Amino acid sequence: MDNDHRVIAAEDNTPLYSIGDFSGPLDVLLALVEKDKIDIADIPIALILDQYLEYLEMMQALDMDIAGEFIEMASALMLIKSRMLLPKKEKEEEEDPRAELARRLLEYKQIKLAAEYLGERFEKFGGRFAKEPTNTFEPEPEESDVKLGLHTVMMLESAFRRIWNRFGGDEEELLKSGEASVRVVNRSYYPLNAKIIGLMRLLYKRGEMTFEELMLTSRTRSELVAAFTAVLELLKSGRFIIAATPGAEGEELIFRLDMTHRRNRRKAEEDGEVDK
Amino acid sequence: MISELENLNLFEPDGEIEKPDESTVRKIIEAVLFTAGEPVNYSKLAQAAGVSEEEIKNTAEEMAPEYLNRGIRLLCFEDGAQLCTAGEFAAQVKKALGITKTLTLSRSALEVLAIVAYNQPATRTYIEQVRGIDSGYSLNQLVSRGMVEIRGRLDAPGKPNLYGTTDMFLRLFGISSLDELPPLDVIK
Repeated sequence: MDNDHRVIAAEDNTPLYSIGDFSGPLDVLLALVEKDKIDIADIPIALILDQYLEYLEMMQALDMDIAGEFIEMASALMLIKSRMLLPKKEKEEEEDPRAELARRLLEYKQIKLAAEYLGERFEKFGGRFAKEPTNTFEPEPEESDVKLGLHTVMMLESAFRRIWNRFGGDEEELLKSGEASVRVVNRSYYPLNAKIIGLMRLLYKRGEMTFEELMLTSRTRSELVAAFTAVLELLKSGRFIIAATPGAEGEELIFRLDMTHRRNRRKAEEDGEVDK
Repeated sequence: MISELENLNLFEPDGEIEKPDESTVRKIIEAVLFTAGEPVNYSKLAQAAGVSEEEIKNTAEEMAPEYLNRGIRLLCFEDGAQLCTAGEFAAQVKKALGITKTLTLSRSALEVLAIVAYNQPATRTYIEQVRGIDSGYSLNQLVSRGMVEIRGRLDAPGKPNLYGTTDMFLRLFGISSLDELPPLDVIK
């Protein structure tokens, strides 16, 4: 971050933080408070509010995206300031309007310190590498007695992630799904309906297949995405059912064709074509 | 038969296999952990070695300090153990193998991790309340890197996901159990 973007400076004008240093509105407030060694329980709201707004203006001047939470904090500070101006009812012991803010700041400060502590430990231990499981043998099918079971979204997600990585997919790209989808839209893609029909035929022939086997029918990433979507569609429409080996790992997802749909196979294919 | 019941070792296969001596158990533990790479539960090790889970855990905990003058470490968690490299040689390992990627954690991610570590299981809403800002990206990043996992759902409207830290978190932060985290009010 550019050092010219000084936001919060000490009394002798040495910069303490630059604009990108903050992880949220509470972080900014905490920096403002700590810079002047202010007691969190007794924050001069008017002063801090002015400094906070100054910070927001600077963000704006630098064309930075200001998250809604920053604006929300500004309005919260203004509300506290106005409450402070109201004449106090002497009889009733009212809670200090700043109490909630002080509590949040203290709580955040503790977490910030804990984060720094964890950061130091990560510096020291983050380079502990563990190897992937050695894959010397073909995993034996544990039991043929397949049971229907409940499966979490996480299992499907982690299975998809394994396949994704096998195709050299980038983690970051998977996370930035928004950006990724733009790229997908602009690219020629493998048609979903073809994949749906393909997978149904394959499963009809083989009886049952694991999730990985289904995914490995794909040769390109676009086809992989189509395969994943196809599995979801087929599950949703009830044509695929999940059966799984109740192995201790609990990771193997096995699919079967729902035979009650067999007679409607013709129709299913038509539906598949209608789906996008 | 009676001694089997006393040991409560239900997994011993028909009593045909002789109970291995301690040095054999150590070798079995090492061999399994090396092959697995990821953490292996004590119960699985016990089943494979034909000794009690407690014996496996004790043996593994005895073995751990012996690795301290080596390039790898044996980590003992609550439920299982794992072999990994010693963190101080990360640079050399990466240089030798031509690894250029460095796993870094942003301040936001560390804050999210701290909140989860100290308040697990925690919901995303709780995390964002403490931080005062949207934390979805950092949280998802931590989940995809395997340091945080979904533990279930809170029985509340919307059934929000509950997040907790993983064994990988313990490994990468040099902790063997969450009890080892210093209390929040002690960290300065």
